[in-house]
Amino acid sequence: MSTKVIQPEELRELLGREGLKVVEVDYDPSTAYELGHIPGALLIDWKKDLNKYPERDIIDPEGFEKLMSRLGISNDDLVVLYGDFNNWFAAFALWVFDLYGHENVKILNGGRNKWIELGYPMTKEVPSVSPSNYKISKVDLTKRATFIDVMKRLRDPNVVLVDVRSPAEYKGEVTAPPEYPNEAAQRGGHIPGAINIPWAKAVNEDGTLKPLEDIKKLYEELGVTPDKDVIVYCRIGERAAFTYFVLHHLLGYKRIKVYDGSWSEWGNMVGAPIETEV
Amino acid sequence: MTNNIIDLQRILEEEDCTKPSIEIFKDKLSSFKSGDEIIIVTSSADAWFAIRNMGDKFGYEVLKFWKESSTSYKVLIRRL
Repeated sequence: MSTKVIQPEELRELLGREGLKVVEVDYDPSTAYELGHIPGALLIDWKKDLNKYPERDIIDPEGFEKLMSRLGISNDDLVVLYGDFNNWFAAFALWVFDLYGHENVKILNGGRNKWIELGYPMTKEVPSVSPSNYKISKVDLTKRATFIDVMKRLRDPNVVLVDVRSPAEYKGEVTAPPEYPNEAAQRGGHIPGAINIPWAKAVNEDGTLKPLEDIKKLYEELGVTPDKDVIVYCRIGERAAFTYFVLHHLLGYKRIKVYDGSWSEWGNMVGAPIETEV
Repeated sequence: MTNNIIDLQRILEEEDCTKPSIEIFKDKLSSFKSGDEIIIVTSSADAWFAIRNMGDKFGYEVLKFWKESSTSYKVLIRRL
Protein backbone atom coordinates (compact mmCIF):
# COMPACT_ATOMS: atom_id res chain seq x y z
CA MET A 1 0.00 0.00 0.00
CA SER A 2 1.11 3.58 -0.64
CA THR A 3 3.17 5.56 1.84
CA LYS A 4 0.24 7.99 1.83
CA VAL A 5 -1.94 5.46 3.65
CA ILE A 6 -1.64 4.64 7.31
CA GLN A 7 -3.35 1.61 8.83
CA PRO A 8 -5.43 2.04 12.01
CA GLU A 9 -3.21 -0.26 14.06
CA GLU A 10 -0.13 1.68 12.96
CA LEU A 11 -1.70 4.99 13.93
CA ARG A 12 -2.79 3.65 17.28
CA GLU A 13 0.85 2.85 18.05
CA LEU A 14 1.98 6.32 16.99
CA LEU A 15 -0.60 8.36 18.90
CA GLY A 16 0.97 11.03 21.07
CA ARG A 17 4.26 11.01 19.20
CA GLU A 18 5.90 14.40 18.70
CA GLY A 19 5.56 15.75 15.19
CA LEU A 20 2.37 13.80 14.51
CA LYS A 21 -0.89 15.70 14.06
CA VAL A 22 -4.06 13.70 13.65
CA VAL A 23 -6.85 15.71 12.07
CA GLU A 24 -10.49 14.71 11.67
CA VAL A 25 -12.08 16.34 8.62
CA ASP A 26 -15.86 16.36 8.86
CA TYR A 27 -18.72 17.52 6.75
CA ASP A 28 -20.87 17.49 9.86
CA PRO A 29 -18.88 17.63 13.11
CA SER A 30 -22.11 17.52 15.15
CA THR A 31 -22.65 13.88 14.18
CA ALA A 32 -18.98 12.94 14.20
CA TYR A 33 -16.10 14.80 15.93
CA GLU A 34 -18.29 16.29 18.63
CA LEU A 35 -19.62 12.86 19.60
CA GLY A 36 -16.15 11.37 19.82
CA HIS A 37 -12.86 11.32 17.95
CA ILE A 38 -9.42 9.75 18.03
CA PRO A 39 -7.60 10.93 21.18
CA GLY A 40 -5.62 14.06 20.42
CA ALA A 41 -7.28 14.63 17.05
CA LEU A 42 -7.85 18.18 15.86
CA LEU A 43 -10.88 19.20 13.81
CA ILE A 44 -11.17 20.63 10.33
CA ASP A 45 -14.78 21.55 9.63
CA TRP A 46 -14.89 21.15 5.84
CA LYS A 47 -17.57 23.77 5.25
CA LYS A 48 -16.12 26.44 7.52
CA ASP A 49 -12.41 25.80 7.33
CA LEU A 50 -11.59 24.63 3.80
CA ASN A 51 -14.03 26.80 1.89
CA LYS A 52 -13.76 30.49 1.31
CA TYR A 53 -16.79 32.69 1.88
CA PRO A 54 -18.77 34.38 0.50
CA GLU A 55 -17.45 33.26 -2.88
CA ARG A 56 -17.40 29.58 -3.70
CA ASP A 57 -13.78 28.53 -3.66
CA ILE A 58 -11.26 26.62 -1.63
CA ILE A 59 -9.30 28.64 0.90
CA ASP A 60 -6.44 30.65 -0.56
CA PRO A 61 -2.79 30.15 0.49
CA GLU A 62 -3.10 32.75 3.25
CA GLY A 63 -6.22 31.03 4.53
CA PHE A 64 -4.40 27.70 4.55
CA GLU A 65 -1.50 29.20 6.49
CA LYS A 66 -3.92 30.64 9.04
CA LEU A 67 -5.75 27.33 9.38
CA MET A 68 -2.55 25.33 9.87
CA SER A 69 -1.23 27.90 12.34
CA ARG A 70 -4.48 27.88 14.34
CA LEU A 71 -4.32 24.09 14.54
CA GLY A 72 -0.68 24.23 15.68
CA ILE A 73 0.52 22.32 12.61
CA SER A 74 4.11 22.97 11.57
CA ASN A 75 5.51 22.63 8.07
CA ASP A 76 7.41 19.45 8.88
CA ASP A 77 4.68 17.73 10.90
CA LEU A 78 3.29 14.42 9.73
CA VAL A 79 -0.44 15.03 9.33
CA VAL A 80 -2.84 12.08 9.36
CA LEU A 81 -6.26 12.88 7.98
CA TYR A 82 -9.43 10.90 8.51
CA GLY A 83 -13.09 11.75 8.76
CA ASP A 84 -16.78 11.14 8.34
CA PHE A 85 -18.52 10.15 5.11
CA ASN A 86 -16.04 7.44 4.17
CA ASN A 87 -13.06 9.79 4.27
CA TRP A 88 -14.41 11.87 1.37
CA PHE A 89 -13.74 15.17 3.06
CA ALA A 90 -10.42 13.97 4.46
CA ALA A 91 -9.41 13.21 0.87
CA PHE A 92 -10.56 16.67 -0.17
CA ALA A 93 -8.37 18.12 2.58
CA LEU A 94 -5.45 16.02 1.39
CA TRP A 95 -5.92 17.42 -2.11
CA VAL A 96 -5.76 20.94 -0.65
CA PHE A 97 -2.61 19.93 1.25
CA ASP A 98 -1.20 18.80 -2.11
CA LEU A 99 -2.06 22.12 -3.76
CA TYR A 100 -0.31 23.99 -0.98
CA GLY A 101 2.75 21.81 -0.86
CA HIS A 102 2.43 19.96 2.47
CA GLU A 103 3.83 16.59 1.42
CA ASN A 104 4.05 14.84 4.77
CA VAL A 105 0.41 13.86 4.93
CA LYS A 106 -1.40 10.53 5.04
CA ILE A 107 -4.94 9.17 5.03
CA LEU A 108 -6.15 6.77 7.71
CA ASN A 109 -7.34 3.66 5.89
CA GLY A 110 -11.07 3.26 6.49
CA GLY A 111 -11.51 6.57 8.32
CA ARG A 112 -13.75 6.90 11.38
CA ASN A 113 -15.75 3.86 10.39
CA LYS A 114 -12.85 1.40 10.53
CA TRP A 115 -11.40 2.94 13.70
CA ILE A 116 -14.73 2.52 15.48
CA GLU A 117 -15.28 -0.95 14.03
CA LEU A 118 -11.96 -2.04 15.50
CA GLY A 119 -13.06 -0.76 18.89
CA TYR A 120 -10.13 1.64 19.14
CA PRO A 121 -10.32 4.50 21.66
CA MET A 122 -12.49 7.54 21.13
CA THR A 123 -12.79 10.66 23.26
CA LYS A 124 -14.80 13.88 23.44
CA GLU A 125 -11.83 15.75 24.86
CA VAL A 126 -10.70 18.57 22.57
CA PRO A 127 -6.92 18.95 22.67
CA SER A 128 -5.39 22.27 23.64
CA VAL A 129 -3.28 23.76 20.87
CA SER A 130 -0.25 26.03 20.77
CA PRO A 131 -0.54 27.97 17.53
CA SER A 132 2.27 27.56 15.03
CA ASN A 133 3.63 29.90 12.38
CA TYR A 134 2.93 27.88 9.25
CA LYS A 135 4.32 29.20 5.96
CA ILE A 136 3.57 27.81 2.53
CA SER A 137 6.69 27.38 0.41
CA LYS A 138 5.04 26.26 -2.82
CA VAL A 139 1.67 26.29 -4.48
CA ASP A 140 0.80 23.81 -7.23
CA LEU A 141 -2.57 24.32 -8.85
CA THR A 142 -1.88 21.88 -11.70
CA LYS A 143 -3.99 19.31 -9.87
CA ARG A 144 -7.09 21.47 -10.14
CA ALA A 145 -9.39 21.85 -13.17
CA THR A 146 -11.80 24.72 -13.67
CA PHE A 147 -15.00 24.81 -15.72
CA ILE A 148 -13.06 26.45 -18.56
CA ASP A 149 -10.36 23.78 -18.43
CA VAL A 150 -12.99 21.06 -18.81
CA MET A 151 -14.89 22.88 -21.58
CA LYS A 152 -11.71 23.34 -23.60
CA ARG A 153 -10.91 19.66 -23.46
CA LEU A 154 -14.31 18.12 -24.13
CA ARG A 155 -13.99 15.16 -26.54
CA ASP A 156 -10.21 15.44 -26.52
CA PRO A 157 -9.00 11.84 -27.05
CA ASN A 158 -6.09 12.45 -24.70
CA VAL A 159 -8.41 13.34 -21.84
CA VAL A 160 -10.57 10.98 -19.84
CA LEU A 161 -13.30 12.49 -17.71
CA VAL A 162 -14.32 10.32 -14.77
CA ASP A 163 -17.68 10.90 -13.10
CA VAL A 164 -17.39 9.24 -9.70
CA ARG A 165 -21.02 9.76 -8.62
CA SER A 166 -23.62 7.01 -8.37
CA PRO A 167 -25.12 5.63 -11.61
CA ALA A 168 -28.42 7.36 -10.79
CA GLU A 169 -26.69 10.73 -10.58
CA TYR A 170 -24.72 10.03 -13.76
CA LYS A 171 -27.90 9.17 -15.65
CA GLY A 172 -29.62 12.29 -14.41
CA GLU A 173 -32.22 10.50 -12.31
CA VAL A 174 -30.91 12.19 -9.17
CA THR A 175 -29.50 15.70 -8.95
CA ALA A 176 -28.97 16.29 -5.23
CA PRO A 177 -30.74 15.09 -2.09
CA PRO A 178 -33.18 17.66 -0.68
CA GLU A 179 -31.20 17.95 2.56
CA TYR A 180 -28.34 19.53 0.59
CA PRO A 181 -30.16 22.43 -1.07
CA ASN A 182 -26.97 24.31 -1.87
CA GLU A 183 -25.67 21.36 -3.86
CA ALA A 184 -28.63 21.22 -6.20
CA ALA A 185 -28.35 21.40 -9.97
CA GLN A 186 -30.99 22.60 -12.38
CA ARG A 187 -30.15 19.83 -14.81
CA GLY A 188 -29.34 16.16 -14.36
CA GLY A 189 -26.90 14.06 -16.35
CA HIS A 190 -23.18 14.11 -16.91
CA ILE A 191 -20.47 15.95 -18.80
CA PRO A 192 -20.37 14.73 -22.42
CA GLY A 193 -17.91 11.88 -22.85
CA ALA A 194 -17.49 11.24 -19.13
CA ILE A 195 -17.36 7.66 -17.98
CA ASN A 196 -18.99 6.57 -14.73
CA ILE A 197 -16.80 4.85 -12.17
CA PRO A 198 -18.35 5.42 -8.74
CA TRP A 199 -15.76 6.25 -6.06
CA ALA A 200 -16.93 3.29 -3.98
CA LYS A 201 -15.58 0.78 -6.50
CA ALA A 202 -12.16 1.32 -4.95
CA VAL A 203 -13.15 0.37 -1.41
CA ASN A 204 -14.32 -2.62 0.56
CA GLU A 205 -17.60 -2.68 2.45
CA ASP A 206 -15.88 -1.40 5.60
CA GLY A 207 -14.47 1.61 3.75
CA THR A 208 -10.88 0.35 3.58
CA LEU A 209 -9.08 0.42 0.26
CA LYS A 210 -9.16 -2.63 -1.99
CA PRO A 211 -5.87 -4.26 -3.01
CA LEU A 212 -3.87 -2.13 -5.44
CA GLU A 213 -3.97 -4.73 -8.21
CA ASP A 214 -7.77 -4.78 -8.10
CA ILE A 215 -7.96 -1.01 -8.21
CA LYS A 216 -5.47 -0.78 -11.06
CA LYS A 217 -7.41 -3.33 -13.08
CA LEU A 218 -10.70 -1.55 -12.43
CA TYR A 219 -9.52 1.76 -13.87
CA GLU A 220 -7.34 0.45 -16.67
CA GLU A 221 -10.07 -1.82 -18.01
CA LEU A 222 -12.31 1.20 -18.35
CA GLY A 223 -9.70 3.24 -20.19
CA VAL A 224 -8.45 5.35 -17.30
CA THR A 225 -4.75 4.94 -17.94
CA PRO A 226 -1.78 6.99 -16.73
CA ASP A 227 -0.80 8.06 -20.26
CA LYS A 228 -3.94 10.24 -20.47
CA ASP A 229 -4.94 13.45 -18.74
CA VAL A 230 -7.52 12.43 -16.18
CA ILE A 231 -10.13 14.80 -14.77
CA VAL A 232 -12.34 13.58 -11.95
CA TYR A 233 -15.57 15.15 -10.76
CA CYS A 234 -18.64 14.45 -8.64
CA ARG A 235 -21.20 16.87 -7.16
CA ILE A 236 -19.13 19.21 -4.99
CA GLY A 237 -15.68 17.70 -5.34
CA GLU A 238 -15.34 15.56 -2.24
CA ARG A 239 -15.91 12.15 -3.80
CA ALA A 240 -13.77 13.23 -6.76
CA ALA A 241 -10.99 14.06 -4.30
CA PHE A 242 -11.23 10.52 -2.96
CA THR A 243 -10.75 9.09 -6.46
CA TYR A 244 -7.94 11.60 -7.05
CA PHE A 245 -6.27 10.18 -3.94
CA VAL A 246 -6.65 6.65 -5.28
CA LEU A 247 -5.38 7.41 -8.78
CA HIS A 248 -2.62 9.84 -7.86
CA HIS A 249 -1.30 8.58 -4.56
CA LEU A 250 -2.03 4.86 -4.80
CA LEU A 251 -1.62 4.18 -8.50
CA GLY A 252 0.86 6.95 -9.25
CA TYR A 253 -1.05 8.79 -11.98
CA LYS A 254 0.72 12.11 -12.56
CA ARG A 255 -1.65 13.73 -15.05
CA ILE A 256 -4.72 14.06 -12.90
CA LYS A 257 -6.91 16.96 -11.86
CA VAL A 258 -9.94 17.44 -9.64
CA TYR A 259 -12.74 19.48 -11.15
CA ASP A 260 -14.07 20.66 -7.79
CA GLY A 261 -16.79 22.83 -9.33
CA SER A 262 -18.21 19.46 -10.35
CA TRP A 263 -21.89 18.89 -11.08
CA SER A 264 -23.11 21.67 -8.79
CA GLU A 265 -21.34 24.04 -11.20
CA TRP A 266 -21.69 22.24 -14.54
CA GLY A 267 -25.34 21.30 -14.00
CA ASN A 268 -26.26 24.92 -13.37
CA MET A 269 -24.09 26.64 -15.95
CA VAL A 270 -25.89 28.29 -18.84
CA GLY A 271 -24.85 26.70 -22.11
CA ALA A 272 -22.91 23.79 -20.63
CA PRO A 273 -23.55 20.67 -22.74
CA ILE A 274 -25.01 17.69 -20.93
CA GLU A 275 -25.48 14.02 -21.72
CA THR A 276 -28.02 11.78 -20.03
CA GLU A 277 -27.69 8.57 -22.02
CA VAL A 278 -25.32 5.89 -20.81
CA MET B 1 -38.34 -7.21 21.91
CA THR B 2 -39.97 -4.51 19.81
CA ASN B 3 -41.14 -4.91 16.23
CA ASN B 4 -40.27 -1.31 15.43
CA ILE B 5 -37.22 -1.38 13.19
CA ILE B 6 -35.37 1.30 11.27
CA ASP B 7 -33.11 -0.58 8.87
CA LEU B 8 -30.82 2.11 7.53
CA GLN B 9 -28.91 -0.18 5.22
CA ARG B 10 -32.05 -1.44 3.50
CA ILE B 11 -33.36 2.09 3.07
CA LEU B 12 -30.08 3.26 1.56
CA GLU B 13 -29.98 0.36 -0.87
CA GLU B 14 -33.61 0.65 -1.94
CA GLU B 15 -33.51 4.37 -2.49
CA ASP B 16 -30.04 4.44 -4.12
CA CYS B 17 -29.45 7.75 -2.44
CA THR B 18 -26.47 9.60 -1.07
CA LYS B 19 -28.41 10.77 1.95
CA PRO B 20 -26.42 10.20 5.13
CA SER B 21 -27.58 7.41 7.44
CA ILE B 22 -27.97 9.87 10.31
CA GLU B 23 -30.32 12.09 8.30
CA ILE B 24 -32.46 9.07 7.42
CA PHE B 25 -32.45 8.04 11.06
CA LYS B 26 -33.61 11.50 12.20
CA ASP B 27 -36.42 11.54 9.62
CA LYS B 28 -37.67 8.10 10.60
CA LEU B 29 -37.35 8.75 14.33
CA SER B 30 -39.80 11.62 14.16
CA SER B 31 -42.63 9.22 13.26
CA PHE B 32 -42.41 7.42 16.62
CA LYS B 33 -44.09 8.52 19.82
CA SER B 34 -42.89 8.73 23.41
CA GLY B 35 -42.35 5.31 24.94
CA ASP B 36 -41.88 3.51 21.62
CA GLU B 37 -38.94 1.16 21.50
CA ILE B 38 -37.11 0.93 18.19
CA ILE B 39 -34.25 -1.17 16.87
CA ILE B 40 -31.89 0.66 14.53
CA VAL B 41 -29.94 -1.48 12.08
CA THR B 42 -26.93 -0.15 10.22
CA SER B 43 -23.93 -1.52 8.38
CA SER B 44 -21.86 1.51 9.36
CA ALA B 45 -19.83 1.42 12.56
CA ASP B 46 -19.63 5.21 12.38
CA ALA B 47 -23.44 5.60 12.26
CA TRP B 48 -23.75 3.04 15.06
CA PHE B 49 -21.43 5.12 17.22
CA ALA B 50 -23.30 8.34 16.41
CA ILE B 51 -26.74 6.89 17.20
CA ARG B 52 -25.46 5.62 20.54
CA ASN B 53 -24.35 9.14 21.43
CA MET B 54 -27.12 11.40 20.15
CA GLY B 55 -29.97 10.44 22.49
CA ASP B 56 -29.91 13.68 24.50
CA LYS B 57 -30.06 15.76 21.35
CA PHE B 58 -32.85 13.87 19.61
CA GLY B 59 -34.94 12.70 22.55
CA TYR B 60 -34.33 9.01 23.11
CA GLU B 61 -32.48 6.76 25.50
CA VAL B 62 -30.20 3.94 24.47
CA LEU B 63 -31.29 0.65 26.04
CA LYS B 64 -28.88 -1.70 24.37
CA PHE B 65 -26.40 -1.83 21.53
CA TRP B 66 -24.59 -4.72 19.94
CA LYS B 67 -22.61 -5.83 16.91
CA GLU B 68 -23.89 -8.85 15.00
CA SER B 69 -21.14 -8.92 12.40
CA SER B 70 -18.65 -6.55 10.80
CA THR B 71 -21.47 -5.28 8.60
CA SER B 72 -24.43 -5.37 10.95
CA TYR B 73 -24.72 -3.14 13.98
CA LYS B 74 -27.82 -2.62 16.11
CA VAL B 75 -29.04 -0.17 18.74
CA LEU B 76 -32.24 -0.53 20.79
CA ILE B 77 -33.62 2.85 21.83
CA ARG B 78 -36.70 4.19 23.61
CA ARG B 79 -38.29 7.45 22.49
CA LEU B 80 -38.61 9.94 25.39
